[in-house]
Amino acid sequence: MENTKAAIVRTKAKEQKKQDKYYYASQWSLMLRKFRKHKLAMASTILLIFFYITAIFGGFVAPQGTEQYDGRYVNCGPTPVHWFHDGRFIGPFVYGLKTERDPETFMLMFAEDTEAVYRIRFFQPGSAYKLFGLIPSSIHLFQAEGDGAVFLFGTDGMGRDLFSRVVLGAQISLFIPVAGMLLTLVLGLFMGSLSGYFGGWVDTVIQRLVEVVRSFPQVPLWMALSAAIPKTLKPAQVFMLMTLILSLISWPDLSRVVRSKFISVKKEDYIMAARISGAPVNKVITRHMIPSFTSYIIVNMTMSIPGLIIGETTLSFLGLGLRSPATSWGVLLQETNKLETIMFYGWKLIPMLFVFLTVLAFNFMGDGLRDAADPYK
Amino acid sequence: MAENRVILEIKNLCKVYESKGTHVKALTDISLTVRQGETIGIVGESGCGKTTLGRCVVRGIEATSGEVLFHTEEDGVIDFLHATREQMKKYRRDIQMIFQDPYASLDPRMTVFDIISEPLRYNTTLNKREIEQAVDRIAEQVGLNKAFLRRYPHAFSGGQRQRIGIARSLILQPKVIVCDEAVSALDVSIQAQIINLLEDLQREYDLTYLFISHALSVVRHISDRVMVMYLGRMVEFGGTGELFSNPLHPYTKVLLCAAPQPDPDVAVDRIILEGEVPNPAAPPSGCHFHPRCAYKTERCEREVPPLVEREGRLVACWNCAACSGARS
Amino acid sequence: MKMKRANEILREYSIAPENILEVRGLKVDIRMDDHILNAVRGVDFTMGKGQALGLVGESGCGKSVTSKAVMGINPDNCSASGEILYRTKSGKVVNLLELEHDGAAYRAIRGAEIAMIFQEPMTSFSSLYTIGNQLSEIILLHEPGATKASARARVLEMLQKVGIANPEKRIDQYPHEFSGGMLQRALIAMMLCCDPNLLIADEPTTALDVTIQAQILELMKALQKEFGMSILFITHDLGTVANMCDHVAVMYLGQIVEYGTVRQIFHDPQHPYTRGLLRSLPKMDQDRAEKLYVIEGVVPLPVSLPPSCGFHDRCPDCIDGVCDCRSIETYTVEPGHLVRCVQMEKEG
Repeated sequence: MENTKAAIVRTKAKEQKKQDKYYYASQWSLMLRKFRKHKLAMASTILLIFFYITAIFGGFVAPQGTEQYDGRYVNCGPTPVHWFHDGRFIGPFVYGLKTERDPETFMLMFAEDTEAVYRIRFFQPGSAYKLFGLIPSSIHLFQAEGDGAVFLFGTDGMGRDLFSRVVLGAQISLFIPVAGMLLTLVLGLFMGSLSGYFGGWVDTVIQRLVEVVRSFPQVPLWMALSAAIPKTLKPAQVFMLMTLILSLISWPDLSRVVRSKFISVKKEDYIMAARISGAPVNKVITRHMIPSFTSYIIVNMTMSIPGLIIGETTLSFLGLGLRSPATSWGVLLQETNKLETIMFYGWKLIPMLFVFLTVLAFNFMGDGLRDAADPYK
Repeated sequence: MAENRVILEIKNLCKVYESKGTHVKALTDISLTVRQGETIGIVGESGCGKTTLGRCVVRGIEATSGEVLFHTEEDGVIDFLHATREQMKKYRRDIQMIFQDPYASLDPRMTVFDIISEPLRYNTTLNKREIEQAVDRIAEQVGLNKAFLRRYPHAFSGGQRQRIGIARSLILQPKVIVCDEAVSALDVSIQAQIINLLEDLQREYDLTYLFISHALSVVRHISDRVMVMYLGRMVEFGGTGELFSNPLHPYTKVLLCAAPQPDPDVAVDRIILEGEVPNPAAPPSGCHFHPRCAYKTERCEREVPPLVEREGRLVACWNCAACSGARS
Repeated sequence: MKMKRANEILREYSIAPENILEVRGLKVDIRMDDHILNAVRGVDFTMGKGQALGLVGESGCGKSVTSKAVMGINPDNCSASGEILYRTKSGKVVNLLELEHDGAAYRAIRGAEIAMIFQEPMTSFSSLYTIGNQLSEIILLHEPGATKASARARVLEMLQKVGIANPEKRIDQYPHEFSGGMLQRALIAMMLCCDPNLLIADEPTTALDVTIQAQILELMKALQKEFGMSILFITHDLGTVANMCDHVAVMYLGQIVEYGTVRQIFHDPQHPYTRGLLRSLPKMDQDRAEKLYVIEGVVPLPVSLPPSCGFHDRCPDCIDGVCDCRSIETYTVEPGHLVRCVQMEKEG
């Protein structure tokens, strides 16, 4: 009898411990816990973190800078990285490249010169760049020694390393959407709160404005606005303007979400409870109302990034955003609008793969966040 | 009870909701005098305005017209609805509210400690330690384990959440508490716990309750006096005992016998009321109750019956003498 | 739910001839995020033809899950075991747990044989079609010979029967034009259209005002008499049960703790929980000064419960070393009056 009782007490204590963890968890940690269970979203998050870190350290990761090119290697396919030379392990290296003409088409072809071995060196100085745009440095993650050339993703029509350009392009293509999103957030939150909290004519005016903005067809509007960007601007300024253009078009959606949340939260009992207990308006908004829908906002923002990525890519693809030698994924895709690219230079489609992966990953992550933030699941 | 001082006077309180051209009179001319330490039960069906009344009194929503006179000890009588900023700052804490839904009324993003202590932050200048002591004290009083104060509301069942809500409204040591269906969402066994708790607290702090509920047995148990409302108007008001044993208004009568009793042998003589509660946007003429009333006369359709005193009670009915005679 | 292969030969079942439903050893587990709720932990009851059984208990006692198991509409994260034996109109006895939820066999039973009405009538209607459309659709679905005109006539008849005034006008209105009480009536009419054997009413009047509640209860009583259906009445309101039912099963923490006729339960309750529940109700004739009786504590979560009486930690008569460490059987205290409590063991 005593034994069974002790066992019951033990199981109860164990159960209690498990419950306690749940009881002391805030909404955020509960959300995080649910998010972790979403495998696809977790994998996407890890992938995105990897992309962003790579982009941040782009100058270091990319062997070439944006301005560099090499006339010898035009439209060169990806160079394979080898480990064994003559059956001997000598670490990663590439062979030298010889050019040949195709006897029928007279096209320039590259072939490996198995005599010339160029080892890949890590953390060696190369072309100069500025880390985070500030710290001058010339150390690169990897480089081929001497005259060797390593083109992981091949080169473009001007002999520029596509891998470097994908990495450096990511700096634009991954960060314009985030900057655009932040600007959208500020605009949307501001307009939405005004509209939802005050109601009345303020609401009416803002809502009509939202409808006007939303009824423009997106791509032509982008095009019109981007066409207005002067051609003489520096890439950083173009970056700013593009961010502005993207967020000017995408704030209405967010402001609608914020507005409807404000309206529905205003009716919650705990808001009235706070008011009755004497909370001033600003406290009611900052302590109760905004926290109650932050999770929705975050989800909404995450889901809006893919649209912005595509937006940036589209603009650049159409030649309306950044221009060479400055680079972004959209700029890189400009070259793909020729038939020969698809026929002969398949590797030039690699930037598309990254656009695709990033958009997909953001969508999965947003999905996971939405499920985690949903209190009814 | 009669010798207790008056603490709250509600005078001609009206609330009209306006939207897109329609006017809904949620409250019409409600007047009520409340004495310190008593419990006024407010009963009626959905749409009768009882919740609106409670919310107007605590200024959760603004009344259209009328006065809520609060008798303070220092500053005499102040009109709670038109009080100055300073008066509000000083006296808002004296009239608090307990909500119906223990799930919706607690901010899910705050710990129980933060929820209970929030009113102190706005109304007092207590330091951290004093706040902690106050919360501990109140938690013990309402039967919350102190160890659980750092948990979030989702860790608690309905009854415990309602205790948290009660602790929050009590922490400012108010004089008047509006209990808006405070036990309606709770299970029977928990409901009894909370009712007893409310009664204990009332005795200890000399609290005055406006107890809004549709559950007549609960109102009967807890109230000293009861007000019956129908479509925004008071139809009967009187001492609980008399009102329940000898209802004067036909509607009160129907209400009393409509609730099923937990005894299989009692159910025999039920008056089943025909029809539904009319749309408050287009209420019937005259006495709002006349389309469903068994005793209606032509006059009921034309004229609104005034509240008159009868047998020590207030009742609004043209024929209550006739119908009370007919029934008893 | 357990999936059964279609070609598996169904076992033959039999139930007492006067019964329409027998539930034996029903257990339902609900898989949650990180634990399993044992929502129903072995429930047995029988329902006689034409009788009304009240299933009462507080929230979380498993009453709704039990009823949904009968109806076969529990969500996918629930798994049920035991037997739910139902006698169909043709006289065959089937174990409802063996039928596939979405299978043709269950669909033929759901609605036509076993109907259900819910607390929120609004959720049972589509707001896009008129009441008449939705009701006649049910008739056309379940009766092969029905024409549009005959279905409409039948709907009119049913609307009249459930006390909807002016049915000719009402039949062409949309659900949002109905009040809550009217909608509940329409829902009852919808369920009557198929003339079911068994009606499951899950808190049908909880959302309604008292005067409307009284109307609906009266209506249900009258219809039960007229159509001779059996009603499984699920509610937390003891007053409703006392008025509506012939038999009552009191549930606590996934088990039936007491079962008997209404009079046995309300006049001679034996289980400490039933007694406490009845005593804790504020009475209409109780004195203001009297304190309410209170069942201390709260209902525990039904998660990995040890073998014990579910009520032991709130029970005033709990016997240490017995109630808290062994599972409790059900004792018959009187014919037809079953109590799951060890106190009954001593008394015989």
